[in-house]
Amino acid sequence: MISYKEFVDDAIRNYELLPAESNEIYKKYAVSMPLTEMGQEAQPSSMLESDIEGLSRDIAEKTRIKFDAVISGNWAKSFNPHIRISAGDKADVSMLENKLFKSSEDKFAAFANANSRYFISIDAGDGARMKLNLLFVNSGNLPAQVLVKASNSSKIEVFELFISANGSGSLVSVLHEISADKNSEVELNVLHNENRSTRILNLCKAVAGDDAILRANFMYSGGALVKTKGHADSNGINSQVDISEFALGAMDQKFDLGTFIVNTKPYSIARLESGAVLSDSSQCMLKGFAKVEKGAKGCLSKITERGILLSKEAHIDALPDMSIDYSNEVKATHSAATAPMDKEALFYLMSRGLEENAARKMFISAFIAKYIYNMKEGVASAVTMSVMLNKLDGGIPGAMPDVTTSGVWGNR
Amino acid sequence: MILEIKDLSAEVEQRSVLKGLSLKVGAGEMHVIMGPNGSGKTTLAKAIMGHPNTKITNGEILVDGNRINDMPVNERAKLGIFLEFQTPVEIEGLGIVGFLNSARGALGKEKITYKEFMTEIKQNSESLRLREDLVGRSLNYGFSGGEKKKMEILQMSVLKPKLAILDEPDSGLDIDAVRVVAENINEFRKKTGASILLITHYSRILNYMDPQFIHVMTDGRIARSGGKEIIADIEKEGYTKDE
Repeated sequence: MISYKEFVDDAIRNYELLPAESNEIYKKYAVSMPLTEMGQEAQPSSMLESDIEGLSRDIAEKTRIKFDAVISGNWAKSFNPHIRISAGDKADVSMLENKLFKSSEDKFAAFANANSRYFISIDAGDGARMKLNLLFVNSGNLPAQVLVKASNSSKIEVFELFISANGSGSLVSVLHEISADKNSEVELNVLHNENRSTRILNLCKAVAGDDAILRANFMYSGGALVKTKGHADSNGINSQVDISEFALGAMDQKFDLGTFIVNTKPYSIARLESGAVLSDSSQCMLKGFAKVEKGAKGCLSKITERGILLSKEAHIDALPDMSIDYSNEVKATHSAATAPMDKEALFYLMSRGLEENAARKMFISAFIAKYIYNMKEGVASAVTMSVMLNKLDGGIPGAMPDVTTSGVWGNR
Repeated sequence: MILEIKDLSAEVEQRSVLKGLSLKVGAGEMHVIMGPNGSGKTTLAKAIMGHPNTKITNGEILVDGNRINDMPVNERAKLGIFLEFQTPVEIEGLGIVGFLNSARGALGKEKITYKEFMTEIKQNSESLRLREDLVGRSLNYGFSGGEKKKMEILQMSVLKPKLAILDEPDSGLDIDAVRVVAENINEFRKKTGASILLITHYSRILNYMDPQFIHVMTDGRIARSGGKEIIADIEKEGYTKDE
């Protein structure tokens, strides 16, 4: 087994040497994120523990959530025995060996491995049932790794809310590694609502075993620049992986969302739904890639990318792609569509009495709701909808409204 | 509500569609407009509702004596005008109940309890023989053509307009559904005393209804007006004598 220091040294070497992107098409469509500079920035913040605690209480009150763990740049605490948090250099060495993201495979994974300050481990034993809410407070810089393991026949629902503690420019890098063992069910819901000076690097590797269901929903409202790299593998017979990602962009926010879904085993399902609603001069790249491996008989692979542009300056590049190594008895589709606001829909809604702005908001909210409905867990969906509606009303990225379940709600 | 259209001309994408059309629909009256494809029936409906692509080049639309030519769409709805769409839009993610509740609020309807509201929706839904689960879904999303048309009639019944413009409520419906829709329109009219302007290609739906006036529209104008006797004439000879 390697030591933590050896692990970090190897990761640093890799992120300095590896290319940022290996896919030739995606090389052309990528938001630059200078990792060397960010590595230097990834220093602990100077925020006091009492300040973080005060902010956590404020957010808990607004969201009506009792958080099971609070993680900030220089302070982290778990209030639930199922969430273990350890500083990077004190991480269990066996944890390093079992990591899904290897430093040698990806520049950004190597960066996250090298700079992670916390290992957050969520482990549900066989047959366990749990719902956990985690608050991540970006108080300067916040690099963390979240490892979720659902053992056989267990069910875990995790909601992660990311906010900023102050107005300073900063970095959030989070590396998720999720394992859903046989017959288990995992739902990970992540809402990024950091301030508009924050750069967000979100990495995720997920693997579902036989008969397992794994859902991961990533919702982006805050941040100046968001870059994601996801890899979800439906790696068990009858396994199901559903990844959803959505960006609500305003001002000059930039989103570079890249997710790779894989069908490895027979009768597996791997689906990716990506979407964006952009206003002002915001930009988004949706880079969904599906791969069907040999032996994935009877599988289903599907990528859907959708976008709405609310201004002439906003821009979406939707780039779904697919590689199929096994063509018999496989259902595989990908599609992309981007359009301005639907004028016929606007006329329809106004013909029912809604004033133009209300009709516009209703239409966009309905579009966002499609992604929010992928969150089966009620708390996560209520908080996310409130944050999105607040931003649609002109709230700046990072603003945290009181959570309400009123407003525009469709039916699941 | 009295709707009066005087010498109305309108363009769609710079193409002249309505060419000096005049029509008066009195309070509580039911008028039917029939006519061949492309005669301008749907454009007339959209012009009354204020569709942004329908540009009025001449004439007036008056509601209770007030000109509404330049009135925003939602303000026309607040006056009590309702348009049943020939092709209703699908909006995934927009729940029907929430949407109708918002529409009621926007139209300034009297407040009712959630229970009363849901009872009204359920009764109308049953009366229209709509599948029970449909009102729990997104607006028209994944609905069949017939279900969409019935959902439009359900909206009309819940929103209770003073003038309902029904643009081919019978298109895409099977024989039984045509009768059900017609009965619901009749019931709505009886309960509310609303005026109805119904657009259709076919006479079948009129077998179950009792309109006072039938108008034949060709090339952007009313070519002929009269009572139900016109229907038999159209069945026999088509629209050729109006061209």
